[in-house]
Formats: sequence, C-alpha cells, structure tokens
Amino acid sequence: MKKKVVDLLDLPPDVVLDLPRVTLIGSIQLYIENHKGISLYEKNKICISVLNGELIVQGEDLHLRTVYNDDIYIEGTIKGISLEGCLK
Amino acid sequence: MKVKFLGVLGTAEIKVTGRFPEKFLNMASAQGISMWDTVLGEKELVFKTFILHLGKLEGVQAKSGYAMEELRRSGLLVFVGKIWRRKVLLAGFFGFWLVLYYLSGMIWRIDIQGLENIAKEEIEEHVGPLGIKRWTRFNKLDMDHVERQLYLEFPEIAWVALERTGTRISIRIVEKDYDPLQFGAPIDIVAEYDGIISEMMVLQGVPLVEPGMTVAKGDVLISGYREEDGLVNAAGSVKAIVYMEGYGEAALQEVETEFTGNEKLVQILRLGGVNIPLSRTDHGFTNYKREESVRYLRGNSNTPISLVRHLYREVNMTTHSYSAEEADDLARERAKIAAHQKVGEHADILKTKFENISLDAIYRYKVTLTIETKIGKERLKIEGEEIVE
Repeated sequence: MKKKVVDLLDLPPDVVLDLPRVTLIGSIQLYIENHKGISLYEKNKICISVLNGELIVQGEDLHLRTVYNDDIYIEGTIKGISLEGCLK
Repeated sequence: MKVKFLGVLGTAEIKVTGRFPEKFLNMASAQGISMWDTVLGEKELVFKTFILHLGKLEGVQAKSGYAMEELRRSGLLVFVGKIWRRKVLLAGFFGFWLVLYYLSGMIWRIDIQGLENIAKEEIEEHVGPLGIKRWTRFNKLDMDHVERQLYLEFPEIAWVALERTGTRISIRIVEKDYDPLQFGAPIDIVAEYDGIISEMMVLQGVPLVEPGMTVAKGDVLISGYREEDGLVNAAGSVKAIVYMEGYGEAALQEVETEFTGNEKLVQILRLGGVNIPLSRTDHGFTNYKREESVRYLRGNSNTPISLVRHLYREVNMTTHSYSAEEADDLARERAKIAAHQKVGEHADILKTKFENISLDAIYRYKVTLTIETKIGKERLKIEGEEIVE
C-alpha cells in the first residue's frame, strides 16, 4: 500500500518506506543511511541490519569510519556487497 | 554544525574489551552516541567519541558489561581543564596582558621635529608640565590645549601639531619664515669671493668699493642703511675678476662604476658580539656597494642591542682605456670643471693656466681660471658695522 502511494506521488522511498540508502565510492568507501544496527563486525566482513534483511559487505581491512545513529561509513577494500541473511 | 562544535569541545579515545564488539556499538549508537575511527583488535575495539557523550557511554558500559577504558582525551575542554589546574600560569597570562595594556596607554617616547631656531630643550621644558613627558597616561592628556599653549608661548611658531602613534608622541613644528625687517636691520650686498672689482652698478644703498679695488670674501660692497622713514636695503650688481683653482686627474685605465638600480636589504640583529640575520644574507650580486646603518635600542649607542641594516646596491663596472694624449686632455678638462664649479653659471673665463703636477703614471693638473663674475650676495647688516664714508 505504502509503495503504491510512493509510486503514485513520486516520493523518495528511502524516507517514506524507511529503506536503506547505500552509496559506494569506488571500492574503498561505503556509506549506509537508515541502518538498523551492526550485526557483525570483522576485518573482512561487516553485516549491517537494514529493514527486512541485512546488508553484507565483504572485503579486506574493513573498518567502521563513523558510526552514528542513522548512518554508517565503512572504509577498506570492498570486494562485494549483498542483501541477504548474514551467516556468522 | 553541531558535530563540529562537539568536536572542538573535545574528543576521547575509548577501548572496549569483550566479545562481539558490534553489540556494544549498536547499544551506543541507539543512545545517540557518535563514534568514529574504529580499530578492531583481537578482543577489543578502539574508537573515538565526543567528550560530552562519555556520560551516556558509561551508562551503555554498565548495561552491556563490557570493560571500557579511556585511552586519551583532547580538545578545548581538556585544554581549559589543564590550564585551570595551573592557576599561577593563568594569573601570569592575564597579568601579562593587563600590564601590557596599562603600559601601552603611556607615553614611551617623545619626538620633536621641524625645529630650526628654537631649542628642543625649550619645547621639552614647556610641554613637560602640560603632561607631555615619559610615563604619562594618554587619557590624562589634552593635546589641543598643549598645541594652544605652544602657540602662545612661542610666537615664532607658525604651525604645530601633536600626534599620537602607539606609545609615541610626535610634536611637529614649523617655524615662521625668516623676515629681516622683523629684526630691524637693513640688507647689505657683500662679496661672495675674493677678487678685483671690474664693474659696478648701484641701484640703492651706499657703495663702499669702486672698480679696481681688491675685496675679500665677506667684505661689504654696497651698504644698506636706516632712514627716519624706515630701512633702505642695498641693491645693485657688482662684477669682479676672481681667480679659481681646480684639480683634475686621469689614468690610462679607469674603472667606472654605475648603479643598476637593483638593491637588497639585509637586516641583522646584533646582540653583543653575536649577529643574528633577520633576513636572507645572500644578495646574489657580483659587484656591489654596501651601505651600513645601525640603529641602537632607544638610540643609545652603549646598549649591546642594535639593528644593523646592510643595503647592497648592485653596480656595473666598466673599464675605460685611454691613450696618453686622451688621458692628458681628460685631466685638464676635469681640473677646469672643478674650478668652474666653484663659481656661478654666468661666469666668463678670461684666462686659463694649467700646471702639470704629475708624479706617477696618473696625469694630474692644477688649473687657475681667471674669471669675471658677479660677486654680490645679500646679507643682513651685522650689528656694529658702520658705513665708512
């Protein structure tokens, strides 16, 4: 229902539907807004909880540049990003 | 903006030890605590946060059971805290500025410029009681009043201005122009050079010499005098034959130096025997002339502190070669110019006599010019000089 209203009124879905907004800069920086927390923090894998799932970031020397209430900044060598359940 | 403000106030580096550090991060993030520069270790997590968030972070630590350690603090609050603990330093800092502020409101130096006939000491003596003396506070000064008093006290002052520049007071004075009539003496025409009078025309005054007479420099030629109605100033023209000597020399090879206009100023602080350059000392000129000026602290040459200024002026050096005949002519010409320069432009050369005084490889000449020129010069009559009839 909400999605239909968003489509109909051409509203930003990340705001209305509380969806994550992900910005990737090359393969070295990743910026995630509207997250729901960190579910795994390792040097080669970081899992971020988002609405209805998890965002999995894989790579090398990954670290959290900033952790704020609404957004997270990840730095390192990013090799893959996927949206699925995070296996520890 | 808020983040920047919090950052300026202060940041802290925190180490959290325990398994699954992401759990701690989530709990802290949920409390609105900002964290950055996280470094993940084997069993610990190091991150930075704002000092103002430390209270909330302690609450998170108490709930989570993680061990937390504060590694480092930095920022304005930390600096203020450190300073606050050093009360003497704080008092010294503010005391220094207070003393500086107080001293900057005082006269440190008095400059008196433009005096010609009035003695500097006279001015100092007069303005001292009016407050223009060292270590007087500026707010107690009425500079307009001092100016008015100077006009009243010294009638020979045409214009005076007092000006404050920092801790210095400048008294700029212009004295009234010299007016001979004010002194009540007439003007004489006197001889400017020694010579024999050749021609004379008197327009006003009493002639004291006549053509054919020999006069010495300073002799009165036409005298001014005083009448019942006022003064009669001498006026007229007196020509005389005068003899002028000059010297000139020339070598077969001469080096001419000419300034190129390129200059480099090097300032050196001299403390006792130690020279500390305040600017780069290399001037980069192959040929140069150096002018040195020294300014001593408070103008006292006995003080060991001075500022030395070296002005390097680049010169071009050109070598001129002359034949024996050319060098001889050049020496004669130079001698003639030297002699001629001693009299005015309108002098007529009647006779030129050269004397060769060369002793070595340099051509040297002494010249005696016989010149007819005007020799009269106006001068205020000196008291006691009487007209000799």
